[in-house]
Amino acid sequence: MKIEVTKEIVPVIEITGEVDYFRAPELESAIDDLILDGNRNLLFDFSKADYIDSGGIEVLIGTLRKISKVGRLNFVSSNDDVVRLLDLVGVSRYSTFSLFSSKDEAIEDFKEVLKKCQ
Amino acid sequence: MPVTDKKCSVNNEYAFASETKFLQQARNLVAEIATDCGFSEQIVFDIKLAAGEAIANAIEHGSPNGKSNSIKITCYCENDDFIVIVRDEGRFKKKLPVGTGDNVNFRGRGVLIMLALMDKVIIDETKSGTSVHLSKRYR
Repeated sequence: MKIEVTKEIVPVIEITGEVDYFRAPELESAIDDLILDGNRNLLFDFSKADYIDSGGIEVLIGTLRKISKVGRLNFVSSNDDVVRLLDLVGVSRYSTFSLFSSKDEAIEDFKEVLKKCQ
Repeated sequence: MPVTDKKCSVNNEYAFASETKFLQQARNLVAEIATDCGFSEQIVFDIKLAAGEAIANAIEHGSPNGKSNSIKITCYCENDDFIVIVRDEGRFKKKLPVGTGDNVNFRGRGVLIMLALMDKVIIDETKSGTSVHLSKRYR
């Protein structure tokens, strides 16, 4: 697993490879740093990742709880298996979670949301 | 994966030291066997994920002596079922799911995933260790 954080309109966390139980704390640490810096809107680009287990799911749900109702998490993946798993474990039911098939779409969504907040 | 080589795609046992660095390799090995057995990509993902949950738990909780403990994985076909057995030398820690929806806790979520993706899951605890039997039926 490789994690790369870049700043666009919101922080983008790009994950490459497989997110599993023993690598998830590394991801959680990167996200916690962003939240500690005051970020509540986050974009997870999972388009180069093809596996996530309960450890990674726990980080996603933990993030959704930390950003609570004031932020949102836009998640990018077109991997059918990953999307199916997110549905299965209930991540997709969070009102602050949105799924996109491309990073551009996820960023456009944030632009719309942030425009409404101004 | 230091111990054994793959010899047959449908009936083999593998053993590896209980180290976190082997988790990805071990679950990918199970996925490779499931692929060889003719499962679709979607079912291979399910088997890989379920096996990965069992192996992760075995490494974390089934190894009272750390790296000197070993994890054994057996894969075979029996009648219409593809079976994966993960054996360790400790006690199973992921209890059955507690709560529902957003409130399902983490320990339960790993088991929930195994139960949801496989046709049968048996967790067998003995004094010498725990084995998790995962079964997927050929459709």
